[in-house]
Amino acid sequence: MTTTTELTRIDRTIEIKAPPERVWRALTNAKELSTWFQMTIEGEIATGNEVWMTSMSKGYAGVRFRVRFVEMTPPARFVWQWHPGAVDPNIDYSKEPRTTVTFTLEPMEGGTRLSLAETGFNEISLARRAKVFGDNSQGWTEVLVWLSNYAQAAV
Amino acid sequence: MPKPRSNIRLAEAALLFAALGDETRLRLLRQLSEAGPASISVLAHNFQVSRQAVTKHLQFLAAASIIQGKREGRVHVWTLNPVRLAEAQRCLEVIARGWDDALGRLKAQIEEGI
Repeated sequence: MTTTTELTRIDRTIEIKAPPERVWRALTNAKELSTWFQMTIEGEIATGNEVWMTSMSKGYAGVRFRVRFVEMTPPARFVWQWHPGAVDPNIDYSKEPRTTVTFTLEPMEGGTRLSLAETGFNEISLARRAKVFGDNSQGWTEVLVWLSNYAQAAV
Repeated sequence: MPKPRSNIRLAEAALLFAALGDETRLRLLRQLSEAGPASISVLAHNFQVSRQAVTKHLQFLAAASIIQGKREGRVHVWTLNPVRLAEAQRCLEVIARGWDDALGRLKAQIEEGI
């Protein structure tokens, strides 16, 4: 498994010994998703639909998440959006920005390469980044590197 | 539940990311990171913006605890708060570990028919 965790996004890639069609079913069939994701799901998993997911895992049982399915392109791309940390029942999260979770499935010899990305932890638009750092720079990445270097060195 | 998301830490992280969502504030942070603690006068001079504008941005960053101010004699000096930045990073690492667990279960479910 390859792993990356920056300040604004999470990326993971794993290889599964099964064809993309099988992996797709595990991601998008409510019963299967519910099992490995440890959530009950109310509503239909379909593009444009919003459902409630309720955690069944230890320590978080009963915590509910509003999830919107943005894209379903079998057996290649599955995208949803939700509110990170929307776990306080007294707060209305509906207007707050969501993070985007993207599963990408690629066939490979002997199975499927599954990539997961959760993005949107920052809200800095590409335009704004370009403006700050110049069009030819990887500006935001640089900021993250120096911020995290600073943080790691100093703590 | 794949994401043990602490609401407090995530709410704080959201504030951090919002605070970073402005070019002047990013520049201020970069300056504080590279050149060390500085006063409002120095920052305003470097960025060629009004003292008032710099103050507003510094207050936003301070509200998110990304920077902290302290008085040195007659001058108010601002400095980065590395603990805060590390917290935000840890917060994402917690979420990431949740994904590791979930993807591990997904793989087992498919490959072993669990």
